[in-house]
Amino acid sequence: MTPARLLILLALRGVPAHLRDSVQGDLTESQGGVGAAWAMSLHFQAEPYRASSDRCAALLLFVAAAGLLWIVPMAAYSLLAQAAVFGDGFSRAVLMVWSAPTALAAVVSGLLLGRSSALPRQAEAARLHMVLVLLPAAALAAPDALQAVLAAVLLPAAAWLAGQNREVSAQLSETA
Amino acid sequence: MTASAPILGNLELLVLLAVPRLREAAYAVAVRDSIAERTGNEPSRGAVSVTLDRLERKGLLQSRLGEPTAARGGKSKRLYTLAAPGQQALRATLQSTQAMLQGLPPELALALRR
Repeated sequence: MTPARLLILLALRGVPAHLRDSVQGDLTESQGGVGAAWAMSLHFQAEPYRASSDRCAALLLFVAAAGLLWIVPMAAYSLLAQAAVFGDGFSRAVLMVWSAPTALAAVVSGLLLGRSSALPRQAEAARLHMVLVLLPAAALAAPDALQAVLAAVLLPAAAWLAGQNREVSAQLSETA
Repeated sequence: MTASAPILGNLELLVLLAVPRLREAAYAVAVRDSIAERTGNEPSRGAVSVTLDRLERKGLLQSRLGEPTAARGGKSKRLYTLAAPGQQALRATLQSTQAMLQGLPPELALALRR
């Protein structure tokens, strides 16, 4: 496979799955190269921000997800300070979970990004954009390297899992 | 005028007019060529494809896959047809334009007719 072909296939990942084949055919027929493929992809990636209602929904979801990244570690640190006096097994188990607050926040934020039905269908691409923006933010906010790595892995993983769950739920409600 | 029919944007209007013009062969490349040929302005490939997809999502167009061809690297064309709500949207948009054209200052109306 040539580098150009690889770049075209990579660009086509930005096109909705149901249109990918026909768009690839259109590009081949009109002799569009790598630049045309990426321009096409960018047009589709910009679609979530075209209508003001879609922009508003995306902004609300982004603020909520970013807010979780901020508020969960705050809550964890507050809890850890209060719970230090408890020595029982249950409290220690809770403390273990809360002792990685940035990773926990990344999971919660990812779940919200993937599962929220606030975004209309045409704005689906915005979910990936939000994950890509929040991922470095979550990693950089981590107090140590381990939590940074965990946050960078868990946020997209949680978003993907929750997204799968949302799609299955939507299919089930359509068939019901 | 149909009150509920959406008013189309400029490229949406051009695409929606190009589709029935091309009859059974309305796919992205042909729609783009048709607009370029008739208006002298060639919209980008991406703009046409995104607009076709958006109009289909709004229910103004319907699509089906054609047969794969060698010229397209074995990929099918997505062929579009105008749906009934698409006709209503065209009518509503053209009527709105007509309504706004009426009552213009005479010199502008004259200049627009040239």
